[in-house]
Amino acid sequence: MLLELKNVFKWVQSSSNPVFLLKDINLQVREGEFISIMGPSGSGKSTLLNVIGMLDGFNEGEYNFMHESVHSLKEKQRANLYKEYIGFVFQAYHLLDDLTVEENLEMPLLYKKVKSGERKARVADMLDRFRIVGKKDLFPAQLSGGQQQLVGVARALIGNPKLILADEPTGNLNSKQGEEIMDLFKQLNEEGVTIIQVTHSEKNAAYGQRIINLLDGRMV
Amino acid sequence: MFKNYLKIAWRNLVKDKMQTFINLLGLTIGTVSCLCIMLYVFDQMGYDQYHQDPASIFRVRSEVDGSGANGEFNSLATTSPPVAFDLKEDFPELEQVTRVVKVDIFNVDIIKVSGAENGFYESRAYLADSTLFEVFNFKLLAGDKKALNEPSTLILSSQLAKKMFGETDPVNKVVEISGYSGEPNKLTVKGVFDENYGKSHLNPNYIISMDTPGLGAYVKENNTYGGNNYVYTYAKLKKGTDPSELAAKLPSFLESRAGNQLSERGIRMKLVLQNIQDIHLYSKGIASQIEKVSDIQYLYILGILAFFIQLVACINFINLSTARANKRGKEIGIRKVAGAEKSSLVFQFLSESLLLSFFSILISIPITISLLPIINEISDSALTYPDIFQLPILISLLSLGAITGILAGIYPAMVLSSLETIKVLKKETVKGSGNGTLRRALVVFQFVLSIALISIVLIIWQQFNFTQKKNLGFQKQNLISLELNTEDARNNYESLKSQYLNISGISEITGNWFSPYENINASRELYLKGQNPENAIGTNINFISEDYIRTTGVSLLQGRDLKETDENQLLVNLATLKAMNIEKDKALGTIVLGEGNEGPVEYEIVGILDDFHFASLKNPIEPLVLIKMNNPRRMLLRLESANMGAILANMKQVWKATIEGTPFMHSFVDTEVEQMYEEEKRIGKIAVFFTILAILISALGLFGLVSYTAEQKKKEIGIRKVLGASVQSVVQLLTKDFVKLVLLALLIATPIAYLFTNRWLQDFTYRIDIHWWVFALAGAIAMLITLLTVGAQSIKSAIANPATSLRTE
Repeated sequence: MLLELKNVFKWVQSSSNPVFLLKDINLQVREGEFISIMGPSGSGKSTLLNVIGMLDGFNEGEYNFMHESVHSLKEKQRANLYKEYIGFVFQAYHLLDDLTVEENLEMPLLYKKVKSGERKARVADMLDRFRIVGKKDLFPAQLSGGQQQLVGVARALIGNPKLILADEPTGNLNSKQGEEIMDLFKQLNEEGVTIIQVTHSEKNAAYGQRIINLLDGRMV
Repeated sequence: MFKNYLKIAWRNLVKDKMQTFINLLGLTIGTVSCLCIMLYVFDQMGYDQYHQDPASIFRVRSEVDGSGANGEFNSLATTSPPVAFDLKEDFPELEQVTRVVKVDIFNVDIIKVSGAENGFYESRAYLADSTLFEVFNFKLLAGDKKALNEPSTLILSSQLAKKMFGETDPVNKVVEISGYSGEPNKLTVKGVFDENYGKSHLNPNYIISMDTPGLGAYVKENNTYGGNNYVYTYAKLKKGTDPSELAAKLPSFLESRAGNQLSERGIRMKLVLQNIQDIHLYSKGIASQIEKVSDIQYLYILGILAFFIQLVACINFINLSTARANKRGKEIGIRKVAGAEKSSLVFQFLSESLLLSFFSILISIPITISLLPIINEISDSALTYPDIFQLPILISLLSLGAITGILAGIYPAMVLSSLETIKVLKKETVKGSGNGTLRRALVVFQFVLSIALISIVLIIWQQFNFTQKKNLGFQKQNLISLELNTEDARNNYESLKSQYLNISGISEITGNWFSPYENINASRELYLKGQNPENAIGTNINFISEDYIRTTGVSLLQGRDLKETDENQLLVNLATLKAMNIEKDKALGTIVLGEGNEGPVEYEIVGILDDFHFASLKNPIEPLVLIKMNNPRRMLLRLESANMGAILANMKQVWKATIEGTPFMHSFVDTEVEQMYEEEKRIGKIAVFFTILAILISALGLFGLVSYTAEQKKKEIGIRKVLGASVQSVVQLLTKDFVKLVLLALLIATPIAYLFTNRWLQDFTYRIDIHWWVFALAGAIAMLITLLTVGAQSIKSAIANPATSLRTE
């Protein structure tokens, strides 16, 4: 078992009544799964993804990640946990505009205090694998959306995560570019990486082995 | 990793050019100010530290109350002549003592090579005991430490030696010094010293052996305590002597040596030890310094000003960085998700501010070097560019860079690094990121500083103007003072006078001992006939020649001017009548007495003058009596025509034909009077400088802030305009906050500036009143600058087409 959510609730207090963002979520994810989260706008998809990614907290319930009870961890330990095991891919790519492709890939390794030699090797490896060696000195603005997202995925992968969380990774891409990214995910999944993605598209959702539908913060 | 921080920092600085420009300009101005002031402060510090064991060398100075009653003690840098060697006799713990007398307090003598035609007026002539070299370090370029052992010898500064002798060796050559009276003194040169060796409160041009006829012999023979306080006495303590123990024994020393003679003459006296290293900066309130001293308080004020300027620049950095946190939000979020810890983000942002502050240091060095002439002019010093590259300066500069970088960067770094990942990634606006209240408080602080400085400058300027414009009671314009410092010149006074009166454009001529801009340091005790001499009143005394009133324009209330035949007739001012309790209408013909060399002398009051300012406006008008002297030390000439050049040329020609060997030296009384307020003028100049800088940097910061606000409110402005808002209302929207801040700052700045200037004005007996409108004006200036800065940007955004701003959203 990679991770498990038990009776997770999340709410915000507005005037007198709490507004629930997540209601009684129970979810088990095994290693090697490819899961798609679907649901209408505001149903809590991104919130759930952020909770899984430990970027956001929750109010009630339990969350175990690789036998660690996340809900009882301190902020810093939680951060260490997700740095070690989770890679993020965003709809808006979120590359750093001031860094070249190569530097964007290198950045997470810097924060992990990976030694210079190994950093270079891993970045080169990743550039090679995604066939973007020729673009390594370009800045994000000089790339097409699909290429930017390719870098985004490469950056998520560079730390060898067990889990990739992708929030509408193809939302800003045209269908061809989108397909390429989804194919990439599929291939990564086959290599053993667990993937959880949020998506609006039935077609993309179909890449996953399991679909979770959310409505008003509740799994249906 | 560090390299990485620097790279990112550099790219960010390059990317946001306006912000970088504002910050860099502000920090550079601040750093240049700090550097200039550091240079000046270091230059003023470290005086008299090059002597052997300077902590053991003390100046013995005296506090004297000669009023006869229990008056105030006068703090003097000097003592009476016998103090030094009496101390040496009585205290075995003294290693050596020496005395220095400045010869030219009254009269600058002419020095010339014996037999040469032309001499030089050279000031800063000292007399010193032969023990001088056992107390102080002098670097002798020629001669040895026995140079002052023999009678009638002297040593020259290398500069003077060069001026007088050129390349020839001056040792054992004979020079002649023509004093105020008598035959010229012949002295043998026994050495040359390097006047640039070490910083000292002593700054001699030449030093004459005390064992020389004239003033030196007088000092050596004099045995009286309490009077003749023109001797600088120095004592070097033996190793292990506690100066405070020695100081405690001084009262009994005075009692045993001079108790009787002091009490007979009604003089109270104390001796005080002052370490020589303290003389230059810690001599406030001590009169009769041998050379110009500074005051540690000025250094503090300058330091504080420089600190404030740097602070204002730091505030710009803080405000702009936190206000623009939105721009960095995404980056921070991504970095955090990629695994950045808060500390590494803090370091990243700090490296940006540090890079900027060190960059500004690099720029500030050449700027400061190019500003050196201006700094030297303002500070009256002689700094050169190697002074910048001294180790202490460089270390201070580096620390300044580090402190500035951290001060400016730490708060934004903390704010930016603690932005919440999820919020910034979700693109929620980080509204008022950082703390809006803090930002406003910092802006208010900048305004407070600007407004306070503007008001202070206005008040200093008003006071300076007041001192220049005030009617002094005589006509200082078109009045020339001519120096008749030698016997030859003085003996030719009448001949010169009659020849000069023939030059067209010269209307009146008189003579005096102290010209109107000179500090009158002669006094006489006077008492009414029939009264006890112990109740004598101290008056300032000046010696004048015929036609004094006509020439100077002093107003005569009753009686007459002094005539050539007068001897014991007096002119007195109203202050004298008041002090001696004489009724004005009965004053004429009153006989007053003063002690002469052979018993009391009777003087008759023949004229009453209105009070006029013969001294600085800092002092109240004191009692003054004028007495006749036929061979005066200065000639005063009243000119009619504006053609000064021609008149002076004529005067010079007549001078050359009449007088041999004495240079023609003249000064304009009004210019010299202005010199009395040189210090105020200098403070005024410095204050103006800093005020402009503070305003400039603050305005830059404001400009940055308002452009940011306008950018942030672009959408809001667009919507408002679509809904019918006018340009005017949009401008108001953007400016009204800043206007409120200026008003708040005015409220805070006014009492601060008032207290400060009020204290400063206390130094002047004659001073301006502080008017409320000064502060209003300062506020108005600040407001105007704010509106100009903020307004331009506001109007720009207000007239922008809303369609464009809304489309980009």
